[in-house]
Amino acid sequence: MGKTVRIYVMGREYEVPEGLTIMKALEYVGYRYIRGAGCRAGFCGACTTVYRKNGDYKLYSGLACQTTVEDGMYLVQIPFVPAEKPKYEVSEIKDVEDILRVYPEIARCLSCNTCTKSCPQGLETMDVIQSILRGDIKRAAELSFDCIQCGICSMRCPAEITHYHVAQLVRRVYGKHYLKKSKELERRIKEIEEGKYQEEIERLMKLPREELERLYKEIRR
Amino acid sequence: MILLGKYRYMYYPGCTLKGWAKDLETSTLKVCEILGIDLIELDRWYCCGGVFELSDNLMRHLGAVRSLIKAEEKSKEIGTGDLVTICSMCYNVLGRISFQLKKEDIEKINFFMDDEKDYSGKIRVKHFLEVLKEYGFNKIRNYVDEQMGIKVAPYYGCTLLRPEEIGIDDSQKPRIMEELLEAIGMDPVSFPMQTVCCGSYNSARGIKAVETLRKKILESAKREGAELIVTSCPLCKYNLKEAMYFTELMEMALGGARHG
Repeated sequence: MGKTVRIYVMGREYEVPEGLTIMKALEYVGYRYIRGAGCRAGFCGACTTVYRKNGDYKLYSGLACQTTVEDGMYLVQIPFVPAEKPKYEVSEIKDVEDILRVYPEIARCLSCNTCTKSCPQGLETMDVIQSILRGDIKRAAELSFDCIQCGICSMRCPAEITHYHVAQLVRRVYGKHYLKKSKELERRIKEIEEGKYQEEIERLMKLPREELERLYKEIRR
Repeated sequence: MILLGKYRYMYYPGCTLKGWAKDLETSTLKVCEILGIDLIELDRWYCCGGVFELSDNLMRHLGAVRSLIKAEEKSKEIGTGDLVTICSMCYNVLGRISFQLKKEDIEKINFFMDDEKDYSGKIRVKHFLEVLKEYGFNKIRNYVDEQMGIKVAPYYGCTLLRPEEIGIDDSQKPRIMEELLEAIGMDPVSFPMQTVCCGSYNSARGIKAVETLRKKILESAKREGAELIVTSCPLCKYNLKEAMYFTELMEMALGGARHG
């Protein structure tokens, strides 16, 4: 074994090879993921991790599949983020007043910037909320576009805002009411509704598993 | 460095001016365009908090301090430390943060913000009325071609004048709006209730006192012969119901429509 680092998983010390991601290091020491892992490529936001480093008072956060282990890391996985998710009808939500009716707590933002500092995507999360509060739907939607919904912002926020749900609502509102309608999309939907792909779908549905696997591999190649 | 004119300022709009007080911003920017004043909006700014908190909860000051930090960054780019607000409430909050916040409180906030830039206290917060005074009311006179002579009562309310450290004029007998109104061809009318509180955020709680104050203020202005009442505060305007922004009146007087 080459160089190793010491990590602490929920308080217990382990020695793991240098250069592993947190996710791989946890598997290396014997953990098996049944929650808190997804695409393993930094896109799905399922593997939220919080950690501290030796001799550093800061609480860090990141994606386990994207962050490399460091010597003296204290790790814990967050397999699920509990967050209120109210039901709404996007067609009825247009401006900041409507958004405040669904998520009144966003008015509690004090600009502490904790959310921005915790974002593994490096998004300006606080500016998303502040943009909504001044009615700038476009800016909020654009600033939050790369959100992967890991939810760590919402776990850290002292105002208990669920930024990732709020931001998703804003992007929906922006798409529904502000962006230009896509003609291509409308054409494609019409084709689907008229049954253009029906025959193909029905053929696929009837295929045996082996044949589907063969086709899948062919497409991947 | 951006090439700008002689009269250039950093500009903090505040949330209200981007929302239901849009008229206050559009009329101000129009007036600036006519007079050749450059207001350069900060790239990043945050809600000032809406009211200056007297409690010792410094968290309430974060939005304002953070905006002043952004202004310090921007000031290097455009070469002025003057930050202008139009909303009286934002002026009051930002002004008090910059002039009144104790040194140890600023240090605490900087320590909390930690790995972000510190606030070093170099920003001068100004209200747009002060900008116009610096520009020169006499110079503004040249842009007015018709003396409208409307009897206009300027309503100051609290936030432009109190506390004294940040007051833009004498807290008991202010003159700045009267001087401006006179310069744009109006007939300014001072009135006893012009520096009395409009009831502020109590209107959000449905408190009756706001209605009482509204009546007293409007009656006081009418008694002095006022045909129109102007303010620079979205909340005062909301509470008074029958006021307009002084910048809207300026736009009219300076022939805003003619200037395209």
